[in-house]
Amino acid sequence: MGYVELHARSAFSFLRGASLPEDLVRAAMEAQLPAVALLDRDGLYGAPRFYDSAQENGFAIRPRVGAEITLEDGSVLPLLAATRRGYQNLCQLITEAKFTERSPLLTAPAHEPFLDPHARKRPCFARWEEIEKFSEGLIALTGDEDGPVRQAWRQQGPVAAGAVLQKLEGIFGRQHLYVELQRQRIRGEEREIGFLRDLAGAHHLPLLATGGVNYARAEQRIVADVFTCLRLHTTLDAAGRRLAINSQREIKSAETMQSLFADLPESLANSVRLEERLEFTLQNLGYSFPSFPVPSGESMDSFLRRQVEAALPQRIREPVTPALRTQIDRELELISRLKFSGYFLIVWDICRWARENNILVQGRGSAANSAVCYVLGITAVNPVKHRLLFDRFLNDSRIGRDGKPSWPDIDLDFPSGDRRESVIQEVYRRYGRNGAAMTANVISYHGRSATREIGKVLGFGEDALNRFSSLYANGDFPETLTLRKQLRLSGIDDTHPRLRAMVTLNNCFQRGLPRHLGQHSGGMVICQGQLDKVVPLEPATMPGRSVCQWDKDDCENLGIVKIDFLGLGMMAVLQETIELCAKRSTNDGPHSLDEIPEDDTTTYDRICAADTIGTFQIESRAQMSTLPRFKPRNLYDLAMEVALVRPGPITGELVHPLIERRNDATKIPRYFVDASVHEEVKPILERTKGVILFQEQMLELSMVLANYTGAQAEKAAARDGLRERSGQEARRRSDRTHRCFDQSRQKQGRDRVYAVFGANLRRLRLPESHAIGFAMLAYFSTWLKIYRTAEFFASLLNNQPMGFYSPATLLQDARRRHGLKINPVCVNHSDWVCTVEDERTIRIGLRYVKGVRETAAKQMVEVRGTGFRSFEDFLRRTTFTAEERRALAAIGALNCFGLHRRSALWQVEAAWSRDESLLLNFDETESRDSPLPQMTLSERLHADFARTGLTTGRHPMALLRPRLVGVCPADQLKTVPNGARVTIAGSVICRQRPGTASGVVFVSLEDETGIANAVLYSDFFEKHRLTITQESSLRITGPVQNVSNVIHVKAESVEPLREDELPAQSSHDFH
Amino acid sequence: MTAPQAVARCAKLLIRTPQAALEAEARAAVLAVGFTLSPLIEDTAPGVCTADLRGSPPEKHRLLVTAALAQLHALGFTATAGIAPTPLLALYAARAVSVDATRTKNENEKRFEHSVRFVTDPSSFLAPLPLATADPSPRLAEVLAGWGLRTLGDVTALSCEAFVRRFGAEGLAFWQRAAGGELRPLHPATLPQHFAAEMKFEHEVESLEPLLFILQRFLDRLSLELQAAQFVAAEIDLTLRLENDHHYARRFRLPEPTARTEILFRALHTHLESVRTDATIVAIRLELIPTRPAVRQQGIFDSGLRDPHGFSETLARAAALVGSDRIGTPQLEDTHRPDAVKLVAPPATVASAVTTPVHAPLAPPLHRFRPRLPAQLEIADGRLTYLWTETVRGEIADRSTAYPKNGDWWEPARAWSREEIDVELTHGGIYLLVREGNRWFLEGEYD
Repeated sequence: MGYVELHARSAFSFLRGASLPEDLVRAAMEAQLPAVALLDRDGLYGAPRFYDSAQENGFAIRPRVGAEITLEDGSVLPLLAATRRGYQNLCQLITEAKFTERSPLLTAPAHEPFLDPHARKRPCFARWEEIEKFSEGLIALTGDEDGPVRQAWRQQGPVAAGAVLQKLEGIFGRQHLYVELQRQRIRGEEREIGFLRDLAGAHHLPLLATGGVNYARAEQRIVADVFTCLRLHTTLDAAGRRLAINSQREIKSAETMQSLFADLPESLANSVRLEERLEFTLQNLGYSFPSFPVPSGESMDSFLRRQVEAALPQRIREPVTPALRTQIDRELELISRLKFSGYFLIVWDICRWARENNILVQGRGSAANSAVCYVLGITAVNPVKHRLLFDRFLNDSRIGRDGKPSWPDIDLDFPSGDRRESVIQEVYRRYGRNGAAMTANVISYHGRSATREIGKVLGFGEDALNRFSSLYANGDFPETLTLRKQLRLSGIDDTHPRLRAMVTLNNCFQRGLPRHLGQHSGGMVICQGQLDKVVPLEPATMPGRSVCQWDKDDCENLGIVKIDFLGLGMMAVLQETIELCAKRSTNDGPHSLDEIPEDDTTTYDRICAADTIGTFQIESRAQMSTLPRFKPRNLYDLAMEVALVRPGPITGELVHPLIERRNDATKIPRYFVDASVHEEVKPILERTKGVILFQEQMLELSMVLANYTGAQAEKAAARDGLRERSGQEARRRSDRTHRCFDQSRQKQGRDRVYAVFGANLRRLRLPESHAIGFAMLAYFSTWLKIYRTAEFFASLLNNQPMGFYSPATLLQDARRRHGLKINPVCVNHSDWVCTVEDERTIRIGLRYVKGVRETAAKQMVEVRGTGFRSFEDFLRRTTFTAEERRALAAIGALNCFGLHRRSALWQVEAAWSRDESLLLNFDETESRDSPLPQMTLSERLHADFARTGLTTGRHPMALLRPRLVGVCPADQLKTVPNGARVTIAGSVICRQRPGTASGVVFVSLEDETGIANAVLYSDFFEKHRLTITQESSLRITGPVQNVSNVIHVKAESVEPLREDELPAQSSHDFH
Repeated sequence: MTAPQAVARCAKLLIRTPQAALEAEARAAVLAVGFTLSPLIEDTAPGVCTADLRGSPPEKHRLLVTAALAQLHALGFTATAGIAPTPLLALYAARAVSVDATRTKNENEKRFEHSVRFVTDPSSFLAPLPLATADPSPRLAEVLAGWGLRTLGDVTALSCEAFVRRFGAEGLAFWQRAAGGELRPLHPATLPQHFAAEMKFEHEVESLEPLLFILQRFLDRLSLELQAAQFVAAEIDLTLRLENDHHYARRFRLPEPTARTEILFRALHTHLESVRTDATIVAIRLELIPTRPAVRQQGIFDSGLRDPHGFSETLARAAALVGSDRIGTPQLEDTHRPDAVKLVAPPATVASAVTTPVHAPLAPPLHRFRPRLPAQLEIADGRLTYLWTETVRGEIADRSTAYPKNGDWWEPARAWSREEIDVELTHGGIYLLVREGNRWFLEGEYD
């Protein structure tokens, strides 16, 4: 007798199921089940991955769809989607239940006290009328021990249980309701089964045996127990009987189920019959992208062509070349044939709206390969001028996983912050709350968060867990300690009785078990008609936003079009700089990015001199080390520079050959191994001196050498990892594509490509169009930094955090290399944001004072007028709290009233309201003279860094210099002979351990003269790991390595620089 | 400074996790020694005891205090002391003694004079002390640090009125603390009524020697406490917790009640020499059952337990005798582990009415065999057919399905896993049969 599992939960039930959907599929295959229904709690979160996994396995398991819906009384109703209508109803039921406010009287169910029926992110708490409204096409099960019938039986007895069943029968009818039976070998269950069997008989309802699956395999029950504790905010020791009594909720084979239900064989047979009734799978989603409304008499194709023709003269500003005309015609024909005109029009319209609303927008990624996108103003790069490959963006042989032409990928960059939000809100306005949503971002258990939560549940002390967490360096600095070693350093010894459990659980969690659902940074999906019929929507944590239950890869796999509205900090900086430039007294702009002259010599001189701190993409240590050697002199050079300093080219050892060939004309590019392909390859690789630097080059080579179609070339590129993806997803995708490609690969051609390019084929590369787009932003930002220094740095400071360096380092660079004067925060002069006072002077804004509220600061600016006359006047007219006043006094922002910092501190503490009763008892004539001594320079620096994270004065290292005998200042390193031993010292501003550098760590030390870089080899780093990662200032000694004026000190000794005068600066640690 | 930063600067730094039992032990020891100085002592803070020495001649103060410090040293604790006109000044003085600096001198000279600080001139003593001495709140400490104040002298150099104007009552209290505080009555600590000590070992104990070392420490302290409370020990209650989660417990009555450490120690030593445990020892608990020297405590079962009016009094006496954690009503614990019980203190009020259960109990009451009976089974064709135990045997007529249960998987020493089967014998009787690994047990009979 057969059996089908129709009630399984995955870890996408969030803190309920313990296995990933793909684990359930694998276990079901091993158990030789023909189908499984995934019913996650209050959503379809795991359904796409479940379907995807089944598809990857050739649909050996039929993936059925359903969900468990939490009802208002806390019981849980399992529903299966029988038809597409049923699926749409399920999506709409979840959406409506999650968006509709619940009665204020509704409280959390007793067994789940932490579920808040009134939180934005909450279970459905669906009402019966909602269930009824959306019941068509759905099949209901009476559920497991949380089901409404069994809950009623347990709490109120058989009569109540019968009443609930009657209600379900009234809603779904006898044909769509099953009485669910589960046997988990727990004492007492036979009594319930007996009751349910009798109840089903009395109501003439079919019985259905299910496993109530909570995990794929029995050994994963421990994860379920931990999830129970996390959900109930308790520990394993305190959870008691709320933990599982045994490990019986795994996927079971038909044989096992037959032995369990030998007395009720019809309940097993019904599982097979019911599954046969389930017509719906995610293959039949019924999604379609919205149409663009066009004037009568126009089709979307003709309207798109008309818009392109209309925009062409403004965009090109010179006669249209035949090449461009041909390219445009080709693209329009293809777009029309693939029925993508509406998509292009919608994106174009959004860009137009953004520009009309003074919001910078620029398309990124492969869209820059399209001439149509360029002409329509979606992208900023002329693909014909830069000879970009259109097939990388769109080709007719590219078929999505849904079997339809694959949608092109257009990502739009907007200034981060409010401007981007206004674009997102405009999309909601156009398509309605149920027509558009942000894509989800599944937050998984990783790193310290996983270990911390496991540790809490296991009962490890908070102090030990704090120590454990603090052993992770800041930022995303790669973790190289083993778990056991890190635990040992945290005081959790190898002999700790719970260590084994900790390690086992950690291994389970680190596989990426989902923790909660967030939202993607900018991905939105829109739909013709109602998106909530395609995927359930729910309120996002951020007010005014909704999020769909699937992430961007899920949407892509299921053919749902996503448009990325990405926030780019540098776009915000550029926009703000342009706006500040418009206020310049000299009225010399620029008033838009288009007015910035191309190929400015001085700008490229500064780029070659690595004067790029604060600019886009070329400011990192690695970029700054390459710039003086690569010497970019035009936009394409800059694009190569952007693409070059990346993991793929570095590990592919492309950096040195390219630099060598550029700098030495006698070095002949080696385009090939096989001389016979020289002529074919040369046009493709000529500009990059024979180095395969860009993705497009890979595609072209595959097409030329192996006769691949565009789609085949793309598949090969994806398989070989040319697209940058991360972690598990990259592996998953690569494996999958590999298999697809294997079936159709043209072996001979492939071998030819491999013979020519060997291992280099497998390195990650940036798309050329993407690199050119970034290069433009890099150029603009550098130009503005040089010619509009004050405006640029003010904007840069106003858009932090972003980029590679802290505000403190940016200010030091502005002062040191660009002679910018930086005025400190002052209540009579500062605004909330940093402002430009004149061409060479900026003023730090109140936003940099930690703890000062934006509302209070803006209120102050509003009432300030021509300034506060006195300290008393300031107090009287502002609404700062005592702590805010204290912060302002400590950084000297009140010095304008004739006070020094300490006297201001003395005054603000006494500045109680006159309404304070205590004040009445004091003499009002207390002297304003402070008995406190003035702050020393060192104290002022400490106060500045503590309260604002920066100083407008000299670098703190200047104070120490007289004591640093034998320490070489950063700007003197260039005078030290190569190989000479030297000591450098300073504040650590960056620790970097690139994955491409075999464990080598780079540390950047900042002093009053500049930045010195040190190289620490892997063994040395591990030996001094804590000193290097934990100390905020270091002294490093070793030989100088000077290659083409790129200077590093190879560390042979390192020690903390323990000086009281030196305040701790923040460091950017990453790889 | 974070722990990793500390380790970065001092590679040999050992980070220990706090152990509540050890801290409680240290606190109790300080109090026990405190009672040797004066009957009026205050349990000021964990590890801080303030004694009122005004009842003894001033010239003997140093002698008394150094003797107390020596006692604490013998108990394994390093302590400092301050003698001053006010309790607060005495505390500051004790804190002002550098433990590190005095340790070597004390060790060399076997005296403790370097660990005692006399305060004769409060002003000059207080002035150089750091702010933290006067326990400012974190917020106040931050403000004062911003003002550049470092010492108590810096604080008292400012006018009290200006200080109060800025910080209100908190400022006033702090300023007064910075000025040394005032003479105040102590909150008298009460003499202990319960004489117990316990410790979890960081490393399991396998031999007698380390165990005796710990017991000696315990007895030193408990003996002091007994004497201070004018008790003697009538019985010794010793419990050893073993690595395999078993306990070794023994209570023995002393031939003659006593508070002398050496006699108590000898009794324990003699007993332990003959003890062999089947696993290493992970924790120890020692309790001395006190009695008045001249009056013997009557047995608990001699008292009039049938008198309802005396019930609460009896409970209190019983709690004093066996420990408050060892008296109460057995109640099932909140765990799937079968037969796990805890004692719940008898309610002070009448229990509320119990609501009628929706369903009848699952099964008839189970009479548990204590201890459970190891069983052997005959299995034929995969079926259980015959059961043997010491007292029960017979052919198996019927059986239930097997109920697997497991739990506490996160701690190997406590993890349990079993399978329960109800069996009915042909000659009558339904029993609970349990399999743990390859072993079978009969755990009880259903009514």
